[in-house]
Amino acid sequence: MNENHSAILSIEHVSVVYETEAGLAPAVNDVTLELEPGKILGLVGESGCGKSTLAQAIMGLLPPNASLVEGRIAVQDCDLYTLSEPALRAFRWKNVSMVFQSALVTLNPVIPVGKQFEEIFTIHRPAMSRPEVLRRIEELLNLVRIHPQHLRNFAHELSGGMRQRVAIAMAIALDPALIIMDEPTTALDAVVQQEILDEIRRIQEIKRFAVVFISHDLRLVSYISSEIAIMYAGKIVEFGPAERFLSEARHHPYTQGLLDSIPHLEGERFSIHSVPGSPPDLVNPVSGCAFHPRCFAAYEACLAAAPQLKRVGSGQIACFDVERKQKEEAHG
Amino acid sequence: MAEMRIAGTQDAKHDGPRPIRNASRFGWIGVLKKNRKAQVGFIIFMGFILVAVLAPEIARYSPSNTNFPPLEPPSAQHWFGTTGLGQDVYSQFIWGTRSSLIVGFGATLISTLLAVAVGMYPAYWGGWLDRVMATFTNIFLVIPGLPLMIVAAAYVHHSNTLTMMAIIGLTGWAGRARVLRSQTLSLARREFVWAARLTGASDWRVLVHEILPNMLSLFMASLLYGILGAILAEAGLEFLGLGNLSGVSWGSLLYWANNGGAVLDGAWWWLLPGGLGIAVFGTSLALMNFGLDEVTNPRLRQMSMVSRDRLMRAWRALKGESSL
Amino acid sequence: MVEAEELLRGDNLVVQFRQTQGFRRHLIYPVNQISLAVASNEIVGIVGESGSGKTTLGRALAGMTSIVQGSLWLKGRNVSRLNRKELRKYWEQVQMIFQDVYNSLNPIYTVEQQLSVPIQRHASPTQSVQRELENLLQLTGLTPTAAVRARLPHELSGGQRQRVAIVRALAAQPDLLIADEPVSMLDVSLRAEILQLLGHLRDNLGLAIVYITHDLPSAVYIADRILVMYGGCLVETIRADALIQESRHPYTERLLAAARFEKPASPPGSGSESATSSVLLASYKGCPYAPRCPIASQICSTTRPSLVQIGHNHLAACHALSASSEAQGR
Repeated sequence: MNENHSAILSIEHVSVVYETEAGLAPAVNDVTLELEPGKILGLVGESGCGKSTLAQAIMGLLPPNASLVEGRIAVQDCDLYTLSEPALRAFRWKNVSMVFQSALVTLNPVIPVGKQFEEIFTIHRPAMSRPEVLRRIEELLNLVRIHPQHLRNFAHELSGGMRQRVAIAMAIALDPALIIMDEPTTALDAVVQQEILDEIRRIQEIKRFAVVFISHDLRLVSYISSEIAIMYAGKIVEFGPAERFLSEARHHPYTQGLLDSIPHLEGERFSIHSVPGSPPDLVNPVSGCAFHPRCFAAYEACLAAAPQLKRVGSGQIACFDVERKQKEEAHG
Repeated sequence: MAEMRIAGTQDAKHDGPRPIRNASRFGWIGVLKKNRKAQVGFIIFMGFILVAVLAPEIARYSPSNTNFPPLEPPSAQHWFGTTGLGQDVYSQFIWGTRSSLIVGFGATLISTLLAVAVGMYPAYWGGWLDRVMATFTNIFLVIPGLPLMIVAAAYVHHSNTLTMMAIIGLTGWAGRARVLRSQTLSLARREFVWAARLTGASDWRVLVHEILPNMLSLFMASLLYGILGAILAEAGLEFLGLGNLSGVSWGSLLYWANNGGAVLDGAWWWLLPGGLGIAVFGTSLALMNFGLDEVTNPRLRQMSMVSRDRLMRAWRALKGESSL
Repeated sequence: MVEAEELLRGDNLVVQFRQTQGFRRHLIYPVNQISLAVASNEIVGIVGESGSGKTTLGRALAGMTSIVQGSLWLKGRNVSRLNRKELRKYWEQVQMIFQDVYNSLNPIYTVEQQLSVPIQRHASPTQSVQRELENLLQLTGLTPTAAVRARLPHELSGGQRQRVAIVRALAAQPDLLIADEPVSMLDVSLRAEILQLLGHLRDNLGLAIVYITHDLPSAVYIADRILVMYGGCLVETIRADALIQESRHPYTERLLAAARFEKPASPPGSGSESATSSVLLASYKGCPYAPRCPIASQICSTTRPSLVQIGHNHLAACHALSASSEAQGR
């Protein structure tokens, strides 16, 4: 396929601010990202780092007390924030859809799953006849390996894994070019989690949609993504192809902390470490680099100014310590 | 960061008793502070309470005094006019407010105690007790309330204030018991309730300290609804002539007006006060209930959309500051 | 290994639930003939997926669910069937922390209010409640304590909430802590701290811990011994340090593969997940794992395998394994 680098999703210098009782909280702060068709972008960070807010901004679903205050988000070259509310509603799901952590968010508990499936088509494809719709739904369910008999079930009658499969089938129902997946496997057991990840990969290879995959688990994200962005306090602190997070040695100290928190299976025991300290305060940010209070490598420069993303190996890192070490290497 | 500062200033003196932040924002005061509807409702409500309490002071004549000219329209002597039997309607209304509220509150107290005993406690306890009590509640729920009350009232015959309270209270608890039961069931299975039990809290303590405060808004709503229901029931019984006919209440005012042919004679002043009393008092309860709902149920609160422009300006100002 | 003093022992424990489906009622056994022992100062990991009965087992051990068959012993005392008063005594020795950190603290009380009451209840008259609270907050890393005390639950992070729940459990000065998925709702990057805290409590307070989880790696990390559960039954019990090398049961293997993100040898059919609930039915007689097992044979769907010794301190319930170990024995 030749899409000539026309990005599916382009996020340019986006900032999203929440108005809270304590003051302004910039949950997303000057984020720039681009996603090409058919790629899976992993967005990783702890809760409160802004990854879910970014997802909501991409869907045009920000809560009422939040607003995109800077930058531009375009899906398939269409600036979401210039669309009228009805146009946005039509655009959503058709061009960009979403899978949530709990399928119970998307699935109405008192309507059978099949009926909800049909609703997607009655809203977005009113011209389709009912037999056509039913045939399409069956196709979709086959794709996610759910037996069509489950269409008569209510959401709570399905297991967690099955619900998530149904949610995925609904997300791809209108063949969107982009799907946002916000922690889609976090609530699942290890075995089912892996099954769902494999399912996403398999379907993604068939349908070639692009995915923004959001999770707090770097190990899981590096399993499924082609590119990974690490977010901390609303900013991207490291970005690069997924391989670099497993192979290359030089990382942002926060990424290093996330990598260390992955249990290592070799030897007799697993070892796990935490990133020390607590998540950042967005309303009263610290000076300089937001990560410096928790950073093992912080020095004076980190308190004075915020580092920018700089090319390191195959990726980009925003860290003065990494910059310094690189310079030392170049000289020595 | 921010925590450190607080630690530095408070660490030295934390050993003494510290002011405990109470949960008032979940209770009445918070609602009254925040919500206009609740404020209006509360003011009207307190007005009625005041009238009831001060009835002997503000009623101008005895309500049973029949020495006035009958069917006089409102005048300086008789603010609300007089009845067909020559009583002062204003004084009857004032005294009627008092007895209606007494019966309403008394009946609600009885039905609340029953609802808690039959609905909340067994739901927390679980097992056979809950099953028996739930069945009992359901049986009571399907018995039509008004006919039951009428039968009971007719059976008692010469009812006084106390028997009225009992009849209304004993027939009006089932719906409220059911509501309290379902909420208790859902709360009793929460982890924090289990945790309290595991740390050795007695069952009553768990009910009163862990469960009840978390269903306060529902409990309050149920209470308001109960008072309204009891007052309506009292008026209904009185209107049907099944109440305490020697006393005055909003219901009996209506009963005598109706029987005395107030409609035929065009004596609107005789009919209106009783009806308005019920309606306005009911409205005040409803307003408080709406207010309570809006404050405790965020989905009903009017979502204040932040203005994007304003946030953009604030953001630019913030960035300008930090880049300096 | 020196045999440690036995703290809690369960013999053939059964918990039964009634399940209504439409008009039909089924009996299910989320805990089906489970025997286990916890030594004092030991960390036992119970690993299984949702629907395996691990949480129900934990609740049964904590006296929150009644045991219909079998017997439970705490320090040699039969505690299988306790009335409310006896339960309160039991809970002075056995405490529990929960998975859902958002529901495990009463939302309307501050940390201090939540904690001082249980501490007061269990403190000896000479103890200062304030001092004890301060000690426990320090011990669990809830610092700066003065700030944390005044917070309401929604002002705390997930990790802090779980720490508060741990303090509340410790207030009773228990011998055994049952931790039901204490970290699964927390960010991966914060889990290790809570796990390390649990290990620290075992080392310093002499606490025994039953750690219940669906996450095999974390159990291997923290536990001394691991019990793998599936379909209400124990399928394998093994020393944690031997698990990676020596575990043999097909389900344990599957869990290990999932932890390594390895694809299973045979891809699961679409029925794999829906089959899990039917194996809990009282009427089901075979091996619970048979419907998903890649090496299941005829006998597996008709006869339930029993736990047999297949190595040092290593038991497994699998027809294929017991057959091969018998063959070896000859």
